[in-house]
Amino acid sequence: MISILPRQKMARNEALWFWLFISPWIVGLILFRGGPILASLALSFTEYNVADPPNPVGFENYARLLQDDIFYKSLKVSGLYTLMAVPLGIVVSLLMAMLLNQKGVPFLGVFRTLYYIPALVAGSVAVALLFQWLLNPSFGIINFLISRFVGEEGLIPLGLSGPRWFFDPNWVVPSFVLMSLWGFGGSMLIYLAGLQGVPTALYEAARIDGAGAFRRFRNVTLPMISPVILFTFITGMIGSFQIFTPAYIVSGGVGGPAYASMFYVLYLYLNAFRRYRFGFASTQAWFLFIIILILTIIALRASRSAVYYESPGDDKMI
Amino acid sequence: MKRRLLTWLGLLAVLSLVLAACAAPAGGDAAAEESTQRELVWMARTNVVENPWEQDVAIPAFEAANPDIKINLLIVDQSDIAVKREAMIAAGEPLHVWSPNWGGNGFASDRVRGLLYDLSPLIERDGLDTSVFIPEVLAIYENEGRQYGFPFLTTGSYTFYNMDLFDAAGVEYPPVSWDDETWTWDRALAIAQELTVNPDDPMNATYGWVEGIWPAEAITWLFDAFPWPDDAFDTGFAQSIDFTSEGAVKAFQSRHDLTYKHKVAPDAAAIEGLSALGGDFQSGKVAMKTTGGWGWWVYSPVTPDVEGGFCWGVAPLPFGAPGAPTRAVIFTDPWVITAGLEGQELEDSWTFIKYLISEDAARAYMQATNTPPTQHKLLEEWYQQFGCMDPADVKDVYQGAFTNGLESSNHLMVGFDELNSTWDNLLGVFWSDPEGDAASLLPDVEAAVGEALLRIAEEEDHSFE
Amino acid sequence: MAGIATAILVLGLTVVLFPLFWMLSTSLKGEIEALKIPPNWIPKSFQWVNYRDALTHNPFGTYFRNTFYFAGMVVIGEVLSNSFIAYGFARLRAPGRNVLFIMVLATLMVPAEVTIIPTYVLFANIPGQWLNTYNPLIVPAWLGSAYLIFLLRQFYLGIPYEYDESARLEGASRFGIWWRIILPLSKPALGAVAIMSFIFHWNTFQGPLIYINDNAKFPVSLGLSMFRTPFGGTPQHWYMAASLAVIAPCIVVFFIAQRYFIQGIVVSGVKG
Repeated sequence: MISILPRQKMARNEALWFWLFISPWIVGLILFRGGPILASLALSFTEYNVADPPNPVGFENYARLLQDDIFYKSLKVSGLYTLMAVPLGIVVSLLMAMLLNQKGVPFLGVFRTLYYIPALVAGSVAVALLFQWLLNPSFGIINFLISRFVGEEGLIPLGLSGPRWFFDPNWVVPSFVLMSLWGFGGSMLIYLAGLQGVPTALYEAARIDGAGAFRRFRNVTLPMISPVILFTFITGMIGSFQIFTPAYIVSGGVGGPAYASMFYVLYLYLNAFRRYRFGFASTQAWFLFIIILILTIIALRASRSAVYYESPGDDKMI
Repeated sequence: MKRRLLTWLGLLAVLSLVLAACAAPAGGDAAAEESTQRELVWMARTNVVENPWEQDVAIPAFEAANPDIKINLLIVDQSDIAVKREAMIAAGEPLHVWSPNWGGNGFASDRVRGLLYDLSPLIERDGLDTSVFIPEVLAIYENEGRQYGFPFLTTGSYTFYNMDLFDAAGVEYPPVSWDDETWTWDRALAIAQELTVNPDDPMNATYGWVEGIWPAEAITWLFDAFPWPDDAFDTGFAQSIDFTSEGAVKAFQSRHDLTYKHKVAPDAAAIEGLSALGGDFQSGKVAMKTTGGWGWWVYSPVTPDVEGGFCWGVAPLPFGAPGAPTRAVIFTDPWVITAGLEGQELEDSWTFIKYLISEDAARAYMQATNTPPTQHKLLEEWYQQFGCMDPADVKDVYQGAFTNGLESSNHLMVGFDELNSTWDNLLGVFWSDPEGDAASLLPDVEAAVGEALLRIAEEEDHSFE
Repeated sequence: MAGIATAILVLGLTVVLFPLFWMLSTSLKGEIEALKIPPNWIPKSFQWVNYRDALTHNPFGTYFRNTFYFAGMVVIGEVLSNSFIAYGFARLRAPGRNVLFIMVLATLMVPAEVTIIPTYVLFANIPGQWLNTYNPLIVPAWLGSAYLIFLLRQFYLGIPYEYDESARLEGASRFGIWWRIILPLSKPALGAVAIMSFIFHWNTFQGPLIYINDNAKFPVSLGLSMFRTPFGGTPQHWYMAASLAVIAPCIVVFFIAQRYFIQGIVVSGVKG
């Protein structure tokens, strides 16, 4: 009987502290972020060409969206890209982070810095142009190497020739995935920080138990950094669905060939800033929002059993 | 516990107040000082030769002559200009003088959106002499009796050729007259075949002909198969485009054949690779390039005096079909004033526009950028600067484009971006496919562009009579 | 083990650094040499003067100063605010917390392309001088960023709860726990956040593009875009020289900051 009251009080006190701690975010939402987001939602029900005031059209944009062939194509392009780029990105950056976390490697700091350099420029115009050239079927270094090593007269004459990358509709998305992998340094950094947080005692205990390198990875490393993996997975997914700059630069804002580089947000951007259909573009944005939101909630729920959190048992953490 | 919580809440409040206070002063101190000056916002594009002209020549000269006006120059990368401009328009931020063809959707779309001020009453009021302009060029930005802008830069489309490569092979230069009927597609092809070396090894190839006429539809113009309805460039709208005429099919197929049948031209990938490395024509590995006339100034650093440089000349576009009346795509950029301005703001903008088209300002622009001017008098000076070509020849070939051409659809068609994206996407595979067949592909392109045209017209409530 | 790792790392460098080698090579060529095909891997003569020319063609000194101010202000704000906010989401229980957390994530899910204009309109209309200053970018950064809140929350969730419990028994307030226990324990994560925040804002383009008008207030990202000239007129040798100069401070910052990870306090249960 006695203990109920303090516990309620404590819970209320904890909740108050919660609100205090997150209050800066609430203030930011109210002052700066919420308004524009709601405005874009409102605009999705209008026809708006910027020069004239928005003209309400109800659900017309949504109806039109569902009849738009290019919308479906762009959804497929971005979906496929996300499906490839996110898992590959996690694997590559986690592997690199583990390599760069090895004790005994000389000049570790230098290596870490050098491997991080691509992330400094990833996603920029310069990198998009650079990859456009690296992957060029006629002049690119990649296809040059392929022909030298496994081409007809190559080192290992398998008669293979490089794909046509950005010029073959089937290879366009993989080309962009390759470009995104080059910028693995961002997630690598996060994993490095995560690996630093794994208590060394756990490894020692596992080693004493006779666990090999792989078992140590599976039973210690993976669970301990699973919260971070979940983070890179979800933010990677959100970011991949919204990828824009590389496609804008490489395709010259056209999205070709045959709409193979018409990423979802590229099409959205073209509608907004090249065709002055802001209402329609907002509709596209909110459709994407719903897709990403659903996928995120699924990922958070599915991860509950897989992700290891240090939290009290009575707490339902997503 | 509660007191502590309150303390932190208080601290947080103080912190946000401090932040808000810090936020305020960082900005408009300079503006406050010179509040007696009226401000004018001029939006330009990033450009390594234009920007120094704007900052160091045009603005100081104008402000010296008009001490009560201050020009705020906004320089934005051309591919991002639309984002900033649309945001400014949406917020009602001042934007006075700009050019509608940079970023966004081009002149016609901005005209239809009602963003452009009709300058005609001001021209009449001030008795401004517009006869200084090349008449065809001035007329481009006139619509239904309204003058929406003054052209400051114009060029046609041409054949740029590498004289050194021609000399080395002992091949005669192409003519300079647009009326020379011997300058045909087939003759250009024959020259290209003679000058092409190693076409299958791009890194070591010399290509006879890089075909780069833009927009993609304009290749049909050479073959006397102009694809737009007669009034399309006046109204900005069309019900359909004709890509299935005999001439149009031949045009697209002939361009395709340059690469895959005659092997005188790089394929789409190689063209992109050449450009990515810096410049196809500038590399000296291309004998002829047919393209828009920006080469006049983009190639101007290439002279025999610099290492790796060479002599280059300019010729008309060849005839794909005898007597094709309009072959050249013309590209003209105007300065415009935002619609809806009034009072002193309008007067100041007008004063500034008049300054920009004044002979001195236009000459300074021409000298800084090497771009062709839009005024007769200045053109005579501009013709003199090409070391490898006789000024009289420059004049013939340059001017011929205006009597044998039309302004580009990217400036005159409403919703051009969607049209361009449509045909480029569908043609993209064709240009890369050695087996590509224009006759079987073009009906699809025609249908898709037609659909887009109707959608654009419907959106703007345009009715076809 | 370390030997194999080193070998792989050295080999991998050729892949990772090739594009940078290319940028360096181009940055040292003459204007026409930069357009030559086939390209020279090593410039005929090193044109170091390109760096001086590229960085003085536009006032890059000013751009660097502006960017240091802007990125610095944002980093301080983001590290402080997000580590604070994330603590709430990670360690404190309250009704509706999960819904609020989804809302945090949701703000990331609306493509920026459709909020650019409403946001600009907002800053054009609220009291104070916002346009043509960095305030629209700095002030919101002090009020949390969804991405970093999420990141830090994930790190905090990995810290054993016993620390909080024992500190509470000793009478520490929630704030005290955050400040004296969670912050020191999450140094590697905070280091990562600081680096990511700095580098992101060092390079960020869209925000300054919209809000900054005066050339004298440009950050380096806008300064780089000043080289972009239509119709292939971009001077590649300058563009590459300036690009390398712009990433150089980031490399230095990273090199210094990465030591944090080596010395980062390992959560091994010794402290508490």
